[in-house]
Amino acid sequence: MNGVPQGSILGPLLFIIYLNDLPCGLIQDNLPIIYADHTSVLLTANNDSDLKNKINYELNYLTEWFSANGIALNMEKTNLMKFTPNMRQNELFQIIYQNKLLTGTNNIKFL
Amino acid sequence: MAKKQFFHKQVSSSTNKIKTAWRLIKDSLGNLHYDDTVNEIKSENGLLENPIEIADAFNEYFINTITNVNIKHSDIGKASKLLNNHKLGNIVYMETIPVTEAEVVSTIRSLKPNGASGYDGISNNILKLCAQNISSPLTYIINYTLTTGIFPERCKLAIVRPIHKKGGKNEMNNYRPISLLMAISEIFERIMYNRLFQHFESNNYLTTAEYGFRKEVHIENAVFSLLDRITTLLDKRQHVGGIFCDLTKAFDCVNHNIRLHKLQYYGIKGNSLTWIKSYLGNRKQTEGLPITKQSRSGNIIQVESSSEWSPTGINLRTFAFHNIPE
Repeated sequence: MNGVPQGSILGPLLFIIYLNDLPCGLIQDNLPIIYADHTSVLLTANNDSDLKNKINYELNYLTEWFSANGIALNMEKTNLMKFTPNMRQNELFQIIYQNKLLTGTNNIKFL
Repeated sequence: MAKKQFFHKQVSSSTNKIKTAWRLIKDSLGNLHYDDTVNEIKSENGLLENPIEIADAFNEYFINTITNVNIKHSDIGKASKLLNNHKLGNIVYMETIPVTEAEVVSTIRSLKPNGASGYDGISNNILKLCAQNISSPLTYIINYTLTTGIFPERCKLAIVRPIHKKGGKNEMNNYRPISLLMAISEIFERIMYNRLFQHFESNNYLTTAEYGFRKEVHIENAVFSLLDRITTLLDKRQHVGGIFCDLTKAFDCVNHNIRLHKLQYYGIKGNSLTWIKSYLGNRKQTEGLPITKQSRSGNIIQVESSSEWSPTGINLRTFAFHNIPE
């Protein structure tokens, strides 16, 4: 009885109720944006290393939440991005998460 | 010139402008009529040509794809602990408000006008025509299901149609399944939907982070919020980053027990909860190939209760199953 019935009216609402508590455990300043199953979090910090720490913290939380709730977070296709005011400053943005090096992307399709 | 005016009028006067525009484009290009007949299909037992065999093969194939989705390990204890992060204050329990004839009539009137029908062959249009005449018995039946907490078994039977996606037409994995439910079932669902949504909305239980479902909030608002926040923060010389998650078949992975736990947490209990349980459980499907209408009645295959029917890659937009080409 897992999953939501396709073609139904209640299915989407039940799905959203399922994800409803996900944003509650995020750091307050960060902005979660969810559209159906597209889940994104926008983070902010005063400096670069702080931002990296926050990303690490949120990735930990998201991984924990999804795994507790039986949803598979595909780390290969999960993207990180740092937004900079100047496109020429396209520095390489990398963080280390669970002993793995993650590299930020320069463009992303949102929704 | 006259033609241009005609198209312009058609598009601007329609409710679904994008759909109308595409329909006009298709019509004027001609020759692009959607051919959804399946004449032969490859299977483990060789090439099938008999329509009933094709229907059975599809049914089995679609059920197996769902069963093969790895049911991910979940942890209800942990999920429940995380759920506690959502502070609700006093829990308000959802009341089972009986439905009135007027609500049933307005629900029927709000159905989308279209000719597609479930296995009972009754389309939305027919229901709309006789809304006044059937509202009284229907009100009684719906109230009966609400007070007993039982969703009618018959309403759960879905006709599943293979819609050709890409590639060779004789390969089953080139098809996407679309479910057709009974129009009557949609009325039952809408009545419960109204109550459930009202409960979450009036108690402010729904997160503002969700852009897919709230009233008067659209996908554009999500994009705007994102861009607005980025520019505001950059102006303040903040460092801004984003995490964009990719979830694998999230709709299929919803864990039933955790879902029930969450519903209870948000104040759904008693008959309403058993109604939803009954609504979700024991779903059945039958294959409905456009060319093999006779197979609808015959080959009802029961989906195992662990493999709730829900195909891959669905999103909120494809939930509008009415839009499949007839």
